[in-house]
Amino acid sequence: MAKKNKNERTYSIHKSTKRLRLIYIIVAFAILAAIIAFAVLSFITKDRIYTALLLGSFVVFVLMTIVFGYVLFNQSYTSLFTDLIDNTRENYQKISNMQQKLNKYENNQITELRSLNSQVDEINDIFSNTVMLSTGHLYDNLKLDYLSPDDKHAITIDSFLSHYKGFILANEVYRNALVYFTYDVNDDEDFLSGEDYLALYKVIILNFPGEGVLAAKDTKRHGFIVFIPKFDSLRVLYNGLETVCKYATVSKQVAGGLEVKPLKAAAVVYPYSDMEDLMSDLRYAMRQNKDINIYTPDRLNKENMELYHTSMNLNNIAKLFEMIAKANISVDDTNSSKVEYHKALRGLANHLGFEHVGMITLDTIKEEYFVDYEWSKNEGEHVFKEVNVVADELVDLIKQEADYDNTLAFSNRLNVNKDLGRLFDIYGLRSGFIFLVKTDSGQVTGIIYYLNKTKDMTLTAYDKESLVVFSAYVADFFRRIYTENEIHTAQRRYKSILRLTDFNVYSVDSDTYELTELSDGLIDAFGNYKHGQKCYEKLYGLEAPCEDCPLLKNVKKTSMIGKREYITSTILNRKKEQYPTLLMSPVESKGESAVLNRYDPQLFIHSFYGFNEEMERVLQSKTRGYVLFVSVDNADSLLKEYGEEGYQTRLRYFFRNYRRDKKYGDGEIYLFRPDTFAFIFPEDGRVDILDRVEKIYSIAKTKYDEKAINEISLNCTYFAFEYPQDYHSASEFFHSVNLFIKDNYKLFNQENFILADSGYVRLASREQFILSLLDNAIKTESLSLKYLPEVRSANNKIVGAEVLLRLTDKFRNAVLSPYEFIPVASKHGKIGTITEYLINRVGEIYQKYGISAFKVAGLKSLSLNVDIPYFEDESFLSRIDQLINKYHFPKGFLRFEFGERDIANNFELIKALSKKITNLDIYLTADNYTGAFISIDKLKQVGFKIVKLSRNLIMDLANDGTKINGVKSIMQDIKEYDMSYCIVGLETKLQYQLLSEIDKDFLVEGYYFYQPMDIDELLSRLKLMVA
Amino acid sequence: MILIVGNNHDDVLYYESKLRNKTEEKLYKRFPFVTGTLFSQKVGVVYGIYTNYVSSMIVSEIIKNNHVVLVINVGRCQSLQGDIKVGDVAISRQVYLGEVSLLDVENSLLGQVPGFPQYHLCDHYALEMMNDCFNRVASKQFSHVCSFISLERYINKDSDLDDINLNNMFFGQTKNIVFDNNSGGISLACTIHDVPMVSVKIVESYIGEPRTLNGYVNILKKYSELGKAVTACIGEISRNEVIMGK
Repeated sequence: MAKKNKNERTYSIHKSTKRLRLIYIIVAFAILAAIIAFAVLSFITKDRIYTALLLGSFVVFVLMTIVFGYVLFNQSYTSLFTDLIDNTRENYQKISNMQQKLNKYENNQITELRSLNSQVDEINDIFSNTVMLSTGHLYDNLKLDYLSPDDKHAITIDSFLSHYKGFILANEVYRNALVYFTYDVNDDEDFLSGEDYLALYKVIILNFPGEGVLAAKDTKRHGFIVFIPKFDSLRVLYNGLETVCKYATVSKQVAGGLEVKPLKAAAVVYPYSDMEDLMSDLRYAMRQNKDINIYTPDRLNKENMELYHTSMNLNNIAKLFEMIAKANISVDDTNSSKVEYHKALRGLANHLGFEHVGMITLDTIKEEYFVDYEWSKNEGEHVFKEVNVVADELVDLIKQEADYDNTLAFSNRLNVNKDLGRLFDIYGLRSGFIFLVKTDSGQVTGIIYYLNKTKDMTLTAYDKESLVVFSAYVADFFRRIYTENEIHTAQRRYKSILRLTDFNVYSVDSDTYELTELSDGLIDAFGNYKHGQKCYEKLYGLEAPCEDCPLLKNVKKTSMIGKREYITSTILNRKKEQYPTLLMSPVESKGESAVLNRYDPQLFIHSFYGFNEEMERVLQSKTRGYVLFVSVDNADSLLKEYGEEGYQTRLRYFFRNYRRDKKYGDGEIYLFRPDTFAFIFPEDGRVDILDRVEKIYSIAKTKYDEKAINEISLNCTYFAFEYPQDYHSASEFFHSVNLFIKDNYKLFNQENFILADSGYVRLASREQFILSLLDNAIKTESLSLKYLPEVRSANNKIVGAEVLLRLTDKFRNAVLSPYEFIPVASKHGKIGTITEYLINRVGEIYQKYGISAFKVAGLKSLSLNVDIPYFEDESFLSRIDQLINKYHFPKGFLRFEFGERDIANNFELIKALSKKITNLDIYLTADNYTGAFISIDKLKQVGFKIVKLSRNLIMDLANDGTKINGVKSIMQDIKEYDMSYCIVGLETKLQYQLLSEIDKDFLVEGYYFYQPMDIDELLSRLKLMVA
Repeated sequence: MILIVGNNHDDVLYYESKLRNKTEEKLYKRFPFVTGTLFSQKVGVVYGIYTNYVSSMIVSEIIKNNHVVLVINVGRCQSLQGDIKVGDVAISRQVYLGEVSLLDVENSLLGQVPGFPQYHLCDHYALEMMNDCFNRVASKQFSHVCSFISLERYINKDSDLDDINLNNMFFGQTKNIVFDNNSGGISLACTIHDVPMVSVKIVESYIGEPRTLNGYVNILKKYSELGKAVTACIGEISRNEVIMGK
């Protein structure tokens, strides 16, 4: 049954212009007829009316011609040519970069462009299955300008820069490097002679003599640019570069003495840098100003998975291996490491075109295979994730059918046997690749799978081998995690048992008595040992080995730790060891053992007895710090809901999570009351304590049972006491604490943090605190705005200002970073409110001072920092539009600043938004720019007009003047793209002088000129400028 | 003609009652077949059609002897617990033959009759039209676009589905699945004759649960809502569209 085709209306530019022409001709003919008639009548009757009509008709005719001409021009140029030219240019660029997905023309309603778009679709279809292969004839097809017919290495610089992509194509299945060898010479210096260049060239070719190496002299950069194809490893490349640099130092006698110029090398590697980014990455590598710098950017981010399958270059797979090699993988931080591997799996699946990728792991306790990770190209369509548990039958059959290399590949469903096929049909699988992770005994402990449900897929040998190697790499990591987890679990249990039973162990070197291990209980009592410390010194306070040392005398030794007696023996050693372990067993005394146990056996924290002992020690030691108390306000509801064991389990979970925090989990935990616990933080100040409280709050909110929808979390009040203050004993301290709790009970039950000494109270949750600050600031319209002027360096003239939102944390006496409070605002739907507030304020100021102060004084723009969360609200831009119309800002007055990383991570989104933003006459500025994440070329593509350089680029200029070359290079690049730059963070005269040597008059923000100021100060400065 | 197929008389009673200029006959002396007009569209109603064997044979016969432009299969079905509740309406996106397992035959998949596709796609336009009519007309009824798996039995226990089920995964899906006993045969017949079809059924019970009289009566009460939507769809078709076949 066919439905009537309600296709989108199209119009033909050809037909519509034809129509216009026809109308014009008819109307023109009519007017001409009228002119003739009026002319004749005027001539005959001599009546002025006809003359007037004649003139009038003539004027109408001229006007009509102009109007028609304008409409025709507008229609064709604006809607057609801009689209045609821009899009075609982009597509040619993509093809030259061997990229697959070409762009379609926007004006799809024009018939001619629609037909072009269908051709683009055809090309995209072909390209999506295309791989570029070398013709094997090196550079024969490139028209290179060799300097000498006998030398196949030296070419002209123009030839090099025009054809470097061709060099790569000719060697595309290998890794290839582009290297700049340069001397640090001023532009106006004539330091290098022809002989120097020749000598450098010879050294380069001596060290890189291979076929295909090409070098071009670049006098502008005082060196050579070199193409090195097919190098073996980065280490070999580095060694080669190092050798060249070593032997190519130039030294000359100058007026001041001997001047030595070492050679520097900056290199980028294809395919680690994409074709389109090679030159900009190379320039960035040079700017980093290292002696030898091989720069391999890591641009994999959540938006950038496309990176891996937009190219027709097979070599792109190398990027994924590179990414894993550089990733921060550690079995100590398995969660982060898993994230890295999952990213790589996604990248590979995407690159090869798989719809689903995932990992199945064996749960050895339940003896079930469950889905550990799964990613699907289309959200909501999964393979195993929805059922989570994978049938044993399937795993067994796969194992039976797998090849000797533990893989099973099937290009379509019919290529598997019927038993396995039946199960694949139940799961709806059409094609895929499966890798089995096995133990030595052959048990399958995991499966890595790459699958398709909607299409067949034939893998080339290259793809298959990549998958095998990649999966083996990933499998090995997960095997290690599994083993490490087992070890950690065993270790944890052993330590817990020691704590619970108050047994202690320590190991020593049997020859020197140097300690090699101390158990936790001994560390609590005596502190950790230093390397080389003797056991008799540390544990017994002696200067020589104990007379009753079990190692010397083969007897058991008796000793005291605090009030408790222990017997030390060598019972754990089975044979003579170099590092024997000694066991300290507590001597049981009736009635005392439970009380004197330093450790609470239920909660695995220090007991109150331990707390008391520790506080005595701490107060006597006269050190300072804080004791943080955490009172569980809802202990009763937790007990009621989960019972005593459930409550204690949740507490243990909380303590465990706390200890696992690398930054804040260093404090020891003590029992104060059944619902109140204490953390001792020596040397902490009040701001440190607040940081800890914010972290502990978030840990307390971690769900124990992730699947439980309505789990009751720990609701706590946090209060801190500074020590030593006037406390002389632990009992005195505890008395104060109890009194405090009694007097301040009204502040409890609200998840507050209270500083006991000063009475400072605020919400413990950082997010809630920021929200309260924001709410208050918005309500009282007291969101602080500061203006950081942008100045022309030559004459100090203020030409613009960056509007800075300020939210102050008075306790910390610190300004909150917008990177912190903006996401909070966004999460709670306050972004629109803030931005509208900002623009309203700016608008009010403009209304009041726009002509009088801004325009007259030459203040042309105000910039606002924006982030992607702003644009997640679809109505955001339309509200901005309304405000702009309300205040009649001139074109380009308002500017939106995006950070470089934000742009790189959300490139496609910003590209889509940029047109809408510029349509509102708002200019785009790239902020914090270093060149590491996105090239200037891409910024230009998107429509950024101004680039604000990161302050890091000029920060060290005062100490390291050679960094100026990096800055100079980036400034030149920006200029070449017809964009403006602004230097940010200029603070010293030396920086100003160095930069003025590059550019006499540049745009700048920095404390050297002005600090952020409020509006009154800005206005008075503007007035001064006019005066 | 638009053909409406049902298991028993209750399934098709509503439509039969709406027909004008009715004529009745019995196919093979067993299967009542009533024809008439509805909104100026010729409509045929046949019932007593149980199992895919019979539905395939009878529908094929009717198509051969009449110019059938659309087959609508109505009645009751069973669903998995969870997403589609008892009393909801299932509209077919595709139909699987759940009892067919000829994997030994070359190039055959589970559920595939050799020479036919593994599953039969229902007419997209009819599906959309039906969905739209449900949303407009049968406001109390929740409708879901589903995969139909056709078997020759009522599923009284979960193990009845072991051959096509792994941890509640059926043909690559875990939700929006219903089970009936005649859609498969109808889809085969329609594929052979190149006639579009769609199934529209009320969920009578969950798989593994017994059918009860109470449950059946409750479903009957909802038949009028179903009937309104289906007849509205027939009305739309007859008013607006020239049906041209697949």
